[in-house]
Amino acid sequence: MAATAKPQPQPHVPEDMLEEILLRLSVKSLLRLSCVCKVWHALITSPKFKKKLLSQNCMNMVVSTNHCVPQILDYEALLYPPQNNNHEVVYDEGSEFGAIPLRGANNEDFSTKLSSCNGLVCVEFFHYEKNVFEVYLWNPSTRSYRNISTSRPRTASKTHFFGFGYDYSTDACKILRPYTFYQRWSDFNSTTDLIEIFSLKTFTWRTIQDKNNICTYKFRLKPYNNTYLNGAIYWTVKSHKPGIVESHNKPSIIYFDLAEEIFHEFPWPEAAAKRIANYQLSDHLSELGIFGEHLCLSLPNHSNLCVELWVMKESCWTISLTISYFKNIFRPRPILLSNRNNIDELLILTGLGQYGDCGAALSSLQTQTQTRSFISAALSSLRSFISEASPSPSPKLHLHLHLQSFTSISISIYIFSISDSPSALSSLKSEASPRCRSVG
Amino acid sequence: AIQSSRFSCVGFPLAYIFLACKKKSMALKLKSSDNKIFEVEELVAVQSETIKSLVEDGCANNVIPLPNVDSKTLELVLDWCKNHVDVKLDEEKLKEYEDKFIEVDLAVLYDLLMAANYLNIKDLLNRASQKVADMLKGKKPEQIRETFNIVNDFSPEEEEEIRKENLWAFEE
Repeated sequence: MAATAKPQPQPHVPEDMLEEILLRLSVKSLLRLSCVCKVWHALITSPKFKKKLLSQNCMNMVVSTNHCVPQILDYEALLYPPQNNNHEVVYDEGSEFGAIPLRGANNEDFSTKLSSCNGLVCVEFFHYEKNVFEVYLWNPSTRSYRNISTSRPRTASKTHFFGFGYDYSTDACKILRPYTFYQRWSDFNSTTDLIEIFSLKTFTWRTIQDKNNICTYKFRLKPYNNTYLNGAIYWTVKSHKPGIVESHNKPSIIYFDLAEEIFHEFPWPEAAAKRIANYQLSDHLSELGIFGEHLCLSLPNHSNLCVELWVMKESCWTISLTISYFKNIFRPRPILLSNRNNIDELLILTGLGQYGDCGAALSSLQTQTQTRSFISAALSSLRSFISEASPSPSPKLHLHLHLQSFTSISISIYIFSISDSPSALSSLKSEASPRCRSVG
Repeated sequence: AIQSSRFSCVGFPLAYIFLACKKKSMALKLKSSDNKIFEVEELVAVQSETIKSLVEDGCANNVIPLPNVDSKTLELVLDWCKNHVDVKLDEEKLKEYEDKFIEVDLAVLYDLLMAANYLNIKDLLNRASQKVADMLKGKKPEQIRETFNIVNDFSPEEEEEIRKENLWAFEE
């Protein structure tokens, strides 16, 4: 085979095929290969190539903050831990993906918020004492991060929440930070509500007005998590807050269209809103998430011990699924519908927060008959994720419940089946008997 | 119900005729770039999406010229296609075959890649690209330049700059 008709000893890699070949490599290999020659470097660093790589090589990862240090957990490892370690997986602090170093000195009082989109993570640190925000962009696959400084006077303004998403119209990721500006400090009548936007394309901050005046009253309700989907960032805002005008006192969804740069609002499912008004459901336990390609609102129903998942399809809310559950569920957030071995699985993150501690939830779980298992990792809170994958739902559905405790240092992941065929569970490499661990 | 039974009455002989035609499987004539003629069964040849669309458009009655593929490569490609006609083949045996098939010189591998791309044979294209990708994995840039006959057109400073940006990627 060595004797070929070609004159040179080794022909060159066919240029047309180079992309096809390189797309099969890991980011680490590609970074290495980028210094082989100029043609390869140009290809690997081109935005077109990066986009293609992102669309086909996406890893499912969970971003979490461990004592406010953002880190990444591999989704596969999270759900399918190696069998030999008692289903407990303890992660190094971001060693695999290069965590952002802790801001400030030890034990400084600050909070961390995360949001992710297109494989990038936006991290916001807030120092309580100094009243200082720091915003970082983090690319876990290249292990690089970049500080994005904010220019506005921080003493005369208050940031309420933030969002991060991809704008198709300008082909750029945008960071969104609505804030209130005080003309005179502590004079609440002299405030202006503004929206600060950072575009990764221009790498600058801009301030815009809240045109529809939605932010003005809604963002005082402190929307919790943001959900990015198809060019818009969504938040759920809840009712029954004192001091809010009656007509505004309805739970709703607000979203920010990243192309138009305008806030919009639409109501919760009519049926659900009615029951909330009658105190049959509590909207404070609900959370917004993603079910496949759709926006999904989860509503825990404590009287029936179940969670209703309402899905927004073609501008209509439909109840998609009711999952039986245990007590004390707090803000269950569906984040990833995946299909593995032809079984649909839904990953749900939940917090237990002030509505119960982790131990209590564990004991009530034991009384359930479903097969389940859990692993625990040293995490304190889990607020965001990176995901890609959304096959269509099928009748067989596995549920991965991801329980977390904000108060302790442990996190548990519960995996159980709501499928009617128990054999399907064998795809989960875990034992049938649950192992419980109390957390201090 | 009437509608459906009528349909099945008509449907049966039609299906029969269709199957009979399929079974015969026409032979196609392919001409390589060096003017060699290969006679192959249609079922084998239509694994190439390119040939398949020619057949569907009724352009496959005469010899099909393939000016981008030489006879040596075409022979290999057709061998691959023959072994992939029946998908129900023993999976293990098929894997064994594929592994052996792809163990070729880089020059031949490139020819296969180009041919698979031109003829649009997905599984061969995947296998050949993966083979080259595997050769690139975990190797140092110097090794890759040598194996793949690539001239380093960076100045030492430029190369150092790129390496510095992503130091972790160069750790073992």
